[in-house]
Amino acid sequence: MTGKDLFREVGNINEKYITEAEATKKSIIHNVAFRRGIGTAACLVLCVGIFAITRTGNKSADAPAADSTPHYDSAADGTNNVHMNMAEQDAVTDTGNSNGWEEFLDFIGDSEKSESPAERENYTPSNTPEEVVGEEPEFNDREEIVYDYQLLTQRLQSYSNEYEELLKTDAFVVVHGTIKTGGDTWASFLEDSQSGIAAKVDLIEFTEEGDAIISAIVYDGETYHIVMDCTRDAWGKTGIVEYEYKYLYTDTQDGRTDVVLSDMELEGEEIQKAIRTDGFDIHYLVQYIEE
Amino acid sequence: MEDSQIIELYWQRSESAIAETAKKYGKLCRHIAMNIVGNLSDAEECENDTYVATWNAIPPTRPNVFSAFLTKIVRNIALNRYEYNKAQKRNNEFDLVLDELEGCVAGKDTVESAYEEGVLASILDEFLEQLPKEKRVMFVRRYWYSDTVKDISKRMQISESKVKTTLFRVRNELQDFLTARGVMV
Repeated sequence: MTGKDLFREVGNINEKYITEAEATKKSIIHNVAFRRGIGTAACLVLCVGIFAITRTGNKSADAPAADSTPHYDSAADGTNNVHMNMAEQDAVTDTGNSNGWEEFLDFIGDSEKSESPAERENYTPSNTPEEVVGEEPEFNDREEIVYDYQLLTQRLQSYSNEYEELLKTDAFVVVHGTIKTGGDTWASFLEDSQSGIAAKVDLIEFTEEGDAIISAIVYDGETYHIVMDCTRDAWGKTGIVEYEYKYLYTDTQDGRTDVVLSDMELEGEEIQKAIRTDGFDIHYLVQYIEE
Repeated sequence: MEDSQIIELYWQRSESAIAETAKKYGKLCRHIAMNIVGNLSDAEECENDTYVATWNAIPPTRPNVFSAFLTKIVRNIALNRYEYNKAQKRNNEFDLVLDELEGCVAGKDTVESAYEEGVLASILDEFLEQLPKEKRVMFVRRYWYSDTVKDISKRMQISESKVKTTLFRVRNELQDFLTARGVMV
């Protein structure tokens, strides 16, 4: 039986499944809208409830009229029951209404309760608590990883086509399935990207005739972007190809590692099955053995 | 117009039967055909051929579910058209559908006695019945209607990644199911 045979057989399934699938669109949209509506309403009720409870706990005899939203009273009336909302805090000067400010900070969970907006406005480095002074900020010398098709294309085109020159680069070089150089660079890229850390690497492979196929692989934290330069391939006509996938998977068997890309979120044995069986929506990136 | 009324027009050999069919189901037929043949002119031809086939089939047939009856016809006509066209032009999207199903049966031999018309369809019904609704709908949209992953994602309000992953898992389950039922070894 071929895939086409199976497709024909699927055509003979019970009509009720066909009409169910046709009818699904409206019901699913309605259900999604309903669930989202319920969810949003529940969140609003929870937030209002928490705030109301907080206000009730600190309420005094001169509390302002019941109002579910925080509001700002003029400092001139000297009331201690001033509650500021987030939009108004920057306009506040020091009114001595520390009770209301502390209450607001309790509500938003801010740990720096002693700092009013006025204090924040007057902030200078010399106000920094002692335990912070003297600590050097952590210097991040990692280059920012940004996917830029034009820049990557230019860089790929600047590579030589000479084998010996390519071996001297920082790229991960694989020759007919065997790693030549850059194994550590590749391992770092895999480790970072599969941990969700932005990373990049260049991959160089060779055609049967010895022409270099050079790919720039950039993981931006969510997606793998690949720009593949096939312009050195005398027999190929694909030029420069760009594609992207969400996930990268590796599978090693009998000393051979396959690295594939896919938009499917696979687990465990599914990865092996997808890699080892034809017909699945995966893209073979590179295959190699350690030299 | 209700389906029963349209079917009655066919029984009365009224030419308005086809007009009413086209009015109600023309878009759906073209959509299914388009998913398979990949171009509008062929899809429209398949649609027209479907009306002819339906006119010839009713009577004596009196379909229970007219939409499913009609769409089965257009599906088969479109598939035949796809095979006829295959040498000249490919429909990459539909080829993906066939490739995915090919992966389902890859590496397995079919037991001839199980592969008899009607038997395999009833096994597929059994498989679909035990699937959760969401998976079942996704399977039917992909392998009956030949919808693209993007279409299914929009229809069901889920990510394309989830559609691909779910279809992948359902195909694995189908392969195991067919093997367990002795259809494949």
